[in-house]
Amino acid sequence: MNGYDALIFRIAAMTITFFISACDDEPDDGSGVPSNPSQPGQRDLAQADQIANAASGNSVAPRSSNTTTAQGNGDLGVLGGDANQNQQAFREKYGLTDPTQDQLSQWNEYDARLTAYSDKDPDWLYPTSASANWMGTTWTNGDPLAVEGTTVSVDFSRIPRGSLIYIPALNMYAEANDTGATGIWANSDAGQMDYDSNGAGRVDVYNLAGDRTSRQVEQDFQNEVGSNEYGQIYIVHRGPGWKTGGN
Amino acid sequence: MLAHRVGLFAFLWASIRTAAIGQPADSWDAVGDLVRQAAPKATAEYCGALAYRSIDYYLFVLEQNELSGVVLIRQQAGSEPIIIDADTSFFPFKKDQEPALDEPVIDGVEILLRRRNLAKRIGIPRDTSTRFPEVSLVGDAIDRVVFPISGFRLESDATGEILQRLRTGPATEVEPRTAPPGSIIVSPTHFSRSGPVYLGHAGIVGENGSIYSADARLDGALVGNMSIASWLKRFSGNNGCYAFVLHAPLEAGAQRF
Repeated sequence: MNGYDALIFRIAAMTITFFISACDDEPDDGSGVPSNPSQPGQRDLAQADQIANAASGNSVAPRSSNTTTAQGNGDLGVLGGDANQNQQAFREKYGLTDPTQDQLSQWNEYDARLTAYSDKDPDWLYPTSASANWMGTTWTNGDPLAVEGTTVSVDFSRIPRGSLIYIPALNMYAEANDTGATGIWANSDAGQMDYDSNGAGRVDVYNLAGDRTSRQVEQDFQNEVGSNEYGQIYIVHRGPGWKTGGN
Repeated sequence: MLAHRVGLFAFLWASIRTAAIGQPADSWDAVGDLVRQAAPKATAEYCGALAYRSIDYYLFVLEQNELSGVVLIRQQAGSEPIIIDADTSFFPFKKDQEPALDEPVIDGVEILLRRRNLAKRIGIPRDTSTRFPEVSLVGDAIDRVVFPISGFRLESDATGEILQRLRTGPATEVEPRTAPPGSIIVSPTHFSRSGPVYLGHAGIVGENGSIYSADARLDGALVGNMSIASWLKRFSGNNGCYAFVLHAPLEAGAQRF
């Protein structure tokens, strides 16, 4: 092999090596975590700040849109179990109907974040910390049950215990008779709309998991509410007085 | 060349159907079943069908909350229908690669989409647009914000192509969970031949962990109503999440190392 041939051979070998290494990336696990993350430069980050500001300036405010607060279709099947029947019975018992625009304008509207919890959650506590539910059902030890289709868990410092609320994204009336990880919520959602000055905090909707895992329940719920996760809720009555017709 | 195009369009118009008239009922049922099973949470809008070389192609637009996209189904006589493409917008070509479909089929799909958009009076083509007839405006909403600042355009509303453009373009990939404000986040559409279809999405990371993205229910307007946490929760399982910071344009005489 003369010098020229050797050079050609080395170039060819380097090219092959390059292609092999280029094709030898670690498999993409779909998590989106780059296999070889690099740091953007300061000028890139400064430009990114400009882009973030422009995005905010060019965006449509969700509250100004009728669509983002559009009523759900009233099918609560995603909550599992007898959610639809329970919601129906709840409405019949308390004379609740799909709200009119007049009713909505009379109720107090708050920013909220809709999330899901279920009896399959790893941190699910038995018995629950829910206060007496509208059905009057209890565990044998006397603790009240969460009811799929009507029970939501809220931050009691934002929504009084036992309040009646209406969730447009699900077209669902709910009883705020359970409490969640309120300290963690307030911390992790600080700066988000559900903890702003008009925020009602998170509204954690109870699901009966059935055959689903905790994660599947959350995924199903997320698919159902979509961007309405950040939306509005109405407090129809503050506190438990609506059950007895008083305050 | 013009005569060729005119002839091709005439052929396609003759081949295109807006209803499943003339289709064997079980064939149409199978296509409908496939769409329903592939995306049970989405609303499917039938946009028409075309035939090419004895193979039928059915086009649907899917809408699911803020997401929208297209699904193209191929039905060959004697076999089960299969999904051959699905994304937030039609994306038949990959740069420097062979098209995934024959050109007459691609032209036919374009006609179907243009006719659908015309009927709905949406997606009026812009003079400078080289995009396929719009179904979703995920890329357009980002370009409108990003281009005046960075000079970079995605030039696509299909999440698969957007991801490809960012990976090969002037951008640094970053960890989505900690993506800085101003990053572009994309979750590509995923599908398999017999379903399911998981529509993807793309947006801009804002301050305080919010994300701004096109909302199909608002004619593609940019809306800030998701957080990074909810995005990851929603898309990381089936679609994957990827984030990129665009490179700032170099000043004259400067070099990027």
